[in-house]
Amino acid sequence: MNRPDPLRGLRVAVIEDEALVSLLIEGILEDLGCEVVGSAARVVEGVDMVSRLSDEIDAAILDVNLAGETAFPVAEALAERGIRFGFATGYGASLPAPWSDRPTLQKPYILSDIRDLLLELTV
Amino acid sequence: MSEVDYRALFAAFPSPHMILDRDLKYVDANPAYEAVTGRSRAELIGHGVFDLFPDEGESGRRLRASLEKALATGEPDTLALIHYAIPIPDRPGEVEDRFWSAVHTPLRGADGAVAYVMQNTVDVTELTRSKAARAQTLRPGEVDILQRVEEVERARQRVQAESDDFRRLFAQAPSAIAVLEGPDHVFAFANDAYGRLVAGRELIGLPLREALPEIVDQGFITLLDGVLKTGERVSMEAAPVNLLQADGSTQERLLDFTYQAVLGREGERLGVFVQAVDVTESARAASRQRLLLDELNHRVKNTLSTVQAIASQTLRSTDGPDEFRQAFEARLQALSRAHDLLVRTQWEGAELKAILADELRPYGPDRVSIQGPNLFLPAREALALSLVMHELTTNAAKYGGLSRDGGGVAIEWKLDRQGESVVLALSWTERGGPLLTGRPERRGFGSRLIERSVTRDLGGHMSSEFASIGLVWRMSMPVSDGGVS
Repeated sequence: MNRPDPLRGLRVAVIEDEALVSLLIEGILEDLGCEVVGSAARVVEGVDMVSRLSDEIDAAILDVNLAGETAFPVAEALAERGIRFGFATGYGASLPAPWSDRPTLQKPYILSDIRDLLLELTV
Repeated sequence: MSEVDYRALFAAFPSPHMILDRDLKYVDANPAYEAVTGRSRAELIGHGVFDLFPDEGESGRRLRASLEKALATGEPDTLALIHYAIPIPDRPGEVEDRFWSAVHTPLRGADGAVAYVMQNTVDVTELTRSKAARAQTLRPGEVDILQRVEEVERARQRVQAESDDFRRLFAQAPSAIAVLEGPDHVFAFANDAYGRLVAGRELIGLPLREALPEIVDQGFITLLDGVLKTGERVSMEAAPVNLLQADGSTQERLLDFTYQAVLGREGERLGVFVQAVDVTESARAASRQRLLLDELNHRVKNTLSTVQAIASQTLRSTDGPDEFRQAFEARLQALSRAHDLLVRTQWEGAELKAILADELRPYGPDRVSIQGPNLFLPAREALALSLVMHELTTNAAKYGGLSRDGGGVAIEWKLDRQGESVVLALSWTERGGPLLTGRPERRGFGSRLIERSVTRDLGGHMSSEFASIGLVWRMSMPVSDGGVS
């Protein structure tokens, strides 16, 4: 490869409430050469993680639905700190404003979709 | 100028005239009427017309209908030809067949309301004799008149019969039909189905806003005003309407309805024809179906994600296709068993005991003991716990208490009430396996899945203690009060 892989070493946080799905996404991130810097399952944990690790997170993948709550407070925390992120959703429904333009992953999550999402975020 | 003497005028009419009040009692009659009926004015006044000239047959009904119609509508009504027998004055008990042509004209009282009806009768008996007789006794012009009178009367009866047929047809139509007249939308007609829709309330003659006050603020009167104003038809599908029920409550019904202007001869807009079909049940069924499909789609997507994650993680933690296949199939089976448990309760959830019994069934009661109070777990928790128990069981079967004869596992739990919430505390204690020398070095997918599931899917905590006699695994998680029984 002539050019350096833009995703290698990218520090990514994952906010996802389902255990298996979080393991899947983290596994794919490792395969892409990224570093998983944080993992949270609930809105409160996510907001807390973002404030603690804001300097260490390059990008984040955020499940829209966290144990029955919407993940928008976490999205606001990420946006406030200028951390780029994309949404993951199993519903295929469109997102409300101001998040409707954010890149979105649809279930089931596959490697090429996650790579495209991260490339879009890091451009 | 001298005033016209109307009493004298009435008396002077050459054709028979009489006036009835609203009870159909004589108020007045002129000499021509006295002559033709053979009754004096004094004999008539104050008596009912049908008391003096009873007729239980078709003619009596028609005469009464015509008089009442003139009184009710305020419009003159004509009976072109009616057969009516009257008593013969000099021969008590005997009657004579006569044929009449009558015009009934309503008269208004000082307050403007119709108070009387005036009848002008012409005795046409002579005109109705047999054709042969007519030809001999009547002049040609008179025959023509008679024929025309008969034709008009037949046509009127035909129209009346057709109108009655249509009225019956509309009354029995399955959809709700009503006709609203004028700018106040007064009910001129409402069929049986319409009556059922509004809990059998009184409608005819009432303005819409009085008959159905609950719909005033629901936008329909504005729509009706628009139809009257523009003549343009309005149709809506499954429009919600809140209607008062017989028990006083208000219920939302969904209606497919059409408002169409009723046009007069000159194209003037007289009122609005309303047709409505109650589609509440079918609309609700369709909405349930959509919800079910959405829910199904959601669950299938979730299951695909789970299977995808299991495949991907199993691939990472196994060496070679044989090992992968064995581990993958076992996990799929655990997932499938959990689904079977959930299907039994329409996906509401499953009993903790049932989950454990299902997973540990191959080992029998002498090796496995399961003890704890009943606890019903919601679907999501039940699925997660099934996979956790599968990983623990697989681990024990490979390296722990279930890997050797004589070994076993004891599962116990209790429920702790902590204020408002209930916490499940469960222990998994292995015995009789190989002697352990501390925490194993390699942490496979199984242990990672167990930990993630407990902390994420179940919102709980866990600990593993590698005692020399075997693994002691503990977990606690909040459970809903409703699941405890």
